[in-house]
Amino acid sequence: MKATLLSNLASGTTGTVESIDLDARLSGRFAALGIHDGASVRLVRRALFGCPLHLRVGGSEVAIRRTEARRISIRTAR
Amino acid sequence: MTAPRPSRIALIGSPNSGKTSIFNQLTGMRRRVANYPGVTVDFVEGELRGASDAVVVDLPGTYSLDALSPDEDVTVTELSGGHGAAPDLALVVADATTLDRSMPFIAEVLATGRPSIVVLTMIDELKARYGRLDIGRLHRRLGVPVVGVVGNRGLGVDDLLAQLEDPGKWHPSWAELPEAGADAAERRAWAARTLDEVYKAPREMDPRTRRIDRVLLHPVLGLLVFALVMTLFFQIIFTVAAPVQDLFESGVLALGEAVGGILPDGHLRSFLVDGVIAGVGGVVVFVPQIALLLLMIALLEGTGYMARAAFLIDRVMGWVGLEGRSFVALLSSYACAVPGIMAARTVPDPRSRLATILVAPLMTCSARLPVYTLLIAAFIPRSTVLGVLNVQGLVLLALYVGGSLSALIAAAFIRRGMRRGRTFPFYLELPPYRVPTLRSVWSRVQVGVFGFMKKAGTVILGSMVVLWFLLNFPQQGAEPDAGAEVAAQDGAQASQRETQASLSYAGQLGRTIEPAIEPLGFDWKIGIGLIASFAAREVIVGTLAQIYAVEGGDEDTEGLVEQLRADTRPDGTPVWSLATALSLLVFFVFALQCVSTLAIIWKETRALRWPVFAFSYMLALAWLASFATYRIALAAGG
Repeated sequence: MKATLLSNLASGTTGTVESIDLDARLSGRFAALGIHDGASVRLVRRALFGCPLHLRVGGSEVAIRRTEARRISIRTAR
Repeated sequence: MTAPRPSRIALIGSPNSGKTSIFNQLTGMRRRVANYPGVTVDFVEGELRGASDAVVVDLPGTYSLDALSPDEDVTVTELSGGHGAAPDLALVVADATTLDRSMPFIAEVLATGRPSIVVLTMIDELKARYGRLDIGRLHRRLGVPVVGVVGNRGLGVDDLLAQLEDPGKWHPSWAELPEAGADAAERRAWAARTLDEVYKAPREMDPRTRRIDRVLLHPVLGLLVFALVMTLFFQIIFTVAAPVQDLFESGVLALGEAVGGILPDGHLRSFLVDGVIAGVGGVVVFVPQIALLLLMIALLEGTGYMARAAFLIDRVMGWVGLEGRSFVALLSSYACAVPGIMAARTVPDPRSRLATILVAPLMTCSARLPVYTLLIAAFIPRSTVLGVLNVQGLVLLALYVGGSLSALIAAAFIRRGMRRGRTFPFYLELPPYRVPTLRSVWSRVQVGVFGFMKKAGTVILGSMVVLWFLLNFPQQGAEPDAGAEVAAQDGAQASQRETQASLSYAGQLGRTIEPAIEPLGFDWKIGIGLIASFAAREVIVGTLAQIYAVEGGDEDTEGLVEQLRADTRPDGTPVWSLATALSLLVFFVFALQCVSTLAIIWKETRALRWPVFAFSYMLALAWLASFATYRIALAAGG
């Protein structure tokens, strides 16, 4: 198990969300999109110049920016 | 004996859950847009099929009852009765293929205790992708009716209509729901427990979507495809719509002739033929283009490509202080700035939203299209480059690109002028690709075209009537009530018409502003057109049609294009040089000539200073850019 930030995840790998360091309303919105503690998140790809990030989470696909991805701690298998 | 039906049924659910296709099924698309005084709201309402006393309301999509953006606020307010009566029934719509995610939201709504029915869409897709759902058991767990539907094909809709007759079952009284005060984590835990027994999510993402995205979202390839899509978009508008438009044009001319032939010479004939038919007809001929534009936007949204475009362009939008969703609002502004500005409600960050609103009118709306197509058809050569690309289409593309780039640059300046503060995050859902249904695409096109026709019937007709009076009075060379004599004097007719237009009230007005627009290459006739076009841009086409009809005489049946090309100054040089045409095109790229847009900016920002600001900066921009264009074109020999 290895801890890192979602923004540092390699494309095509999956991790589990450990914590989200955003204010309550915003992390609430991310939770509604499927990004919450314990959720499994796969980084599908990054757009040109590394932002935004294309994520696959809970059966749907969501894009977020690198700024927010830096505030999401995750744990990967390797 | 049927129980009383609910009189107000609200559709709520996350974006892309399929609310609108359910709405279309329930109402047969008899929609009406509601406007609630005092609140900045309008969403779609329609009568329930076969029940004139029941209203179905299609609300903006929301992920949670804790609204972050103004459009979500509309939904939350409606649900709590903030727009008057609270709905008698909430139809909670969720995509069955992503139920893991939407279940906590369903719990949130049911916990409010409001009468509800849960509608699960995409049941067919769930099965196709090896998912499973036990609707009967889910119903027992939730305590309210659960109906599975395939919205676009209408499967399950009869079942839903039957449930609407049974109000006794809508209350989630005996289900083990999380309490109203439960936090998000508790709701998620409840949702996971509930779904564990009754639901198996699809094994994997729609494989087709994944394959398509590998190309369309590719960092380099995806952008190339994006550029290609946009180029095609504008080529199609010009090449496909043009012949249809010619047909419309000859129809308008024929109608003018027919009416002119029946009526005796005089004010009534002049009013109907030169004023109403030439004026409104000159604008109505652009319906094919506008319909085509709306059709392509509906296809881009319906297939799911619009969200990909927002993803690809978010970085660029970020540089100027906007975000991917601003792009969607700006792209809608290609149809009309009014829905575009309203679409800016989906942008949660207040400063990004304001900047989006203030630059949206720079996007090339369909009202500019009549002006562009007229001037391009008249003055840009109909040749091709590289064998296939039509020069007229390329000029149109350049005008669109110019408008879009200036919007981005303006946004960067506006954001720079704002104070920094808390930023809201960007998030964007990428829905699976779907083949849009004919019905949903048609309804988008229909609503837009009818909106345009309504404008042609009100604002444009009104402007045309006022203009006819301004152009025909005071009467020259005849008694005011003996207009018939004017036309009867055969020999002196042409010069008399010229005098009539130039000495009329409108002509005087045009001459008054001539010094201000003369540096741009415009004469007093264009001046009248510009003044008139501040009501709505496309009015300039009808205005020029009227001016030339008044000048050219009633028997004149050549199209406006030929009349513009043939018009000369007293010294014999053409009024419309290429430099003048380019200058006018550029003026229309920038100027905010639209009363409806100013009104919606005021309404959405709730401050008069914003429409005033937008109008002023765009007028200054238009004048300077036109001046530069005219001078450069003259120097280059245009």
